[in-house]
Formats: sequence, C-alpha cells, structure tokens
Amino acid sequence: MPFRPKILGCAALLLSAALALAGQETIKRADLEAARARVPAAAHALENPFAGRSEAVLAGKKLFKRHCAECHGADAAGSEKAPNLRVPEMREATQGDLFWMIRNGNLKKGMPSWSRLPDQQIWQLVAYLKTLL
Amino acid sequence: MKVIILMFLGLLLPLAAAAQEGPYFNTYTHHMEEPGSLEISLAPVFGLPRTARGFTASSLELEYGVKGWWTTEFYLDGQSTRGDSTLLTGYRWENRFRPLLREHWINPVLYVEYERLNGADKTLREVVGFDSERDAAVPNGDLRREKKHEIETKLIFSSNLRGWNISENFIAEKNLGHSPWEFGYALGASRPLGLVASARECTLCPENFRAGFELYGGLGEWRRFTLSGTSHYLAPLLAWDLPNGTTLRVSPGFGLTGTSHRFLLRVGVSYELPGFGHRIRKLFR
Repeated sequence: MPFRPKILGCAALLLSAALALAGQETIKRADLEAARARVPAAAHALENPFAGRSEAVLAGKKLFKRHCAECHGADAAGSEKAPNLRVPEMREATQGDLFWMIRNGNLKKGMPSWSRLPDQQIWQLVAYLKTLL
Repeated sequence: MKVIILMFLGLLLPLAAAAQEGPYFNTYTHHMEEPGSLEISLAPVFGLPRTARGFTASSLELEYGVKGWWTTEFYLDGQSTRGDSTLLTGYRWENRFRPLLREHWINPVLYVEYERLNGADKTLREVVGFDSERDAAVPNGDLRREKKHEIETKLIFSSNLRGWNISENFIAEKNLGHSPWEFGYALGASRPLGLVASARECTLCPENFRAGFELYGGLGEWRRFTLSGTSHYLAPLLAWDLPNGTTLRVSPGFGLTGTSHRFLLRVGVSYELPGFGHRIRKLFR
C-alpha cells in the first residue's frame, strides 16, 4: 500500500481531538488519603520555613488564586474537577506532606505537578492552605 | 460561522489563569500542560542570515493537556521572506509523555512528532543534521516543492534545582520518504528572577520574570555523527508571566558557526485557558 501522508495526518488529528476531549479522571477525596500515604518519611517531616509568617500566607493566597482556584474553587471547597481540600485528610497532613503532594502532583489522577514553581512558593502555598484547613 | 466564533469566544472569556508557558523556545522541559488546559501561542522568529534574505517565520501553537502525564500540541507554520513571498509551510503534531509519575533529580520525557511541511519552513524550532543558513538562500518557489513527511523524536531530561530549571533534549529526525536519521540537541537553563512570591498582586514583581539561555544545534546524521559543518546557536531569553495568564517571551539568538544564521530574534506570546476541555465536554452533555 502506498504511503498516504494526507490520510495519516488527518487520522492523527482526529485521534488527537478524540483523545483530547475524552473523559478525564478526576481526583477524588479517597485519592487524597492514598496520595498522603505515598509521601516519603523524609518529606513528611519537613518543616515549612515560612510557617507563621503572615506575608507568606498572603503570598500563598495569591498563588492559590492564580494556580489552584480554577480546579479546587476559590475557597478550596472543591469543584467538579478537583476535591474539597477542607477535609480531615488534609487537616491531618503535615506541612511536609502538603509540600510533597503539591510538588509531585498525582499525574495518574489528573493533579498536575507544580514543580515548575520554586520550592519557596510551594511553601508559601502550604502556609496559606494550613490557614484554611 | 459568526455563531460558532461567538460560542468559542464565550468559552474563553470566563477563564482565569493557571500555570503558564515555559520560558524556552527550542528546549522542552518535563513540565506538562495541566489536564484539560489549552494554551494558544504565537512564536514568530525574525531571521537575519549572512548570505540570504531576511525572513519572518511563525507557528500558531495549540497545546492541550490530555492527561497529567500526556500533552499534545498542534502547530501551523508559515513564513514570509523579504523580496520573495509569504506562504503556509505545513503543520506538526507532537505528543509528550512522562513515563515517571513522580519528581526525580532527572525527569525523562518521551517526545514523538509527525511533521508535514514543505522545504520553505523556516521556523527553526529545532536544528538537526547539517541544517544551515544556505538552506534559506533558495527562493520560496523552489523550496515549497520539497515535501517533508517527517517523524521527529526527542529524549528530554529536565531537572529543577534551587529555583533553576536545567533541561537537555536529544533530537532524532527522519524524513519518511528518504534521507538518513538526522540528529540535534537543545539545552536550556532558566530561573525566576524572584523565588519568593510577594504578598500583593503585581505585574512587575521579580517572581513574574524568568531569565536564562538556550544552546541548540545540529549533530550530523546517521553514520556522520559530528559537530563539523553543523549550525549552533546561543540564545539568552526572558519570559514575563502576566497575572491574567498571558506569557510574553523574547530571545535573541546568535549563530556560533559559519553555517548558522547570523542572528535570530524570537518573540512569543501565549495565553493559557484552564478548564477548556471540561467546558467543551459540558457542551456535549
């Protein structure tokens, strides 16, 4: 059969569009506990260098609005796309747990990795989240 | 048609910003598009070769996060050469996959792209083989007759360390019709100007700017793996993330060898539309 680049190109585009619009897995509350269980012991014990600093909480609030509110809701109470963060599973998480979970995400379940943010900004986010939980 | 355009705009308007475009033009990192987010970018390059006519080439890029570990991107390319003509040069469809789902010291990404371009494409998104500025000296009318059906693969390694991102890409490209495999590389390093976010909303805070550089070029081809006779570029870069989700980027690139274009100026504007896929799916429920 002769090589048909036009057909291949169209097929590729259709496949792309179909898969792109296919249903995505949404991270659920149960996944939060599972994600917390995966946090390594060393990360679990990490201390937040910004803990208790009001400036960091304000910066974290700004970062949450910019990067997280679209999925988790402006008040972190969740949406169709991502779970409520004001739940016991999150309340019991250490600041190190939250740092690790934000930095690594849960790629399989649709939570992106936020390692593109500097560690300092992730800690600022954690400082803000802890005021909500 | 107007109704379709208005519906599309309606989808876009209520959206807010999320993560934004990386600072590089040629180098890929392990940072994927957020699932369901669509990023629209325009990235023109202005070329000043030594021996050929100046040109402007550009890509319209649509990048979509299919899964947390899978990003797909579609490009539509075109170019205009001074004193010659303006034309569309083809399209590309790329997919990037993250095989390791956690952050590591070095994070690998597998990249596969199908390209259907003609020989007049001058976007220079990657430099491979013995690509040189002499390629740009041929008139567009002749260049467009050459059809390129290519598969391009990249092995991407990317690390985040103390605020720095350091990325290395190894490129292998094959014209499906003929020609041997051609090889190239792209290296990038960048860092935000401020690692700590300020407490107030701001547009000009150091945390919104990222600076760095890229180094990219060709590595010859199958059985002629070499630096000799290949083109290489060094390009400092600056990216500015605006709070509304727009990223502006600029990168002057300098040719390092006699076969390189003397100067390439790249600029980019991109806009992130979080939750795009979710809104589209809701339309069909």
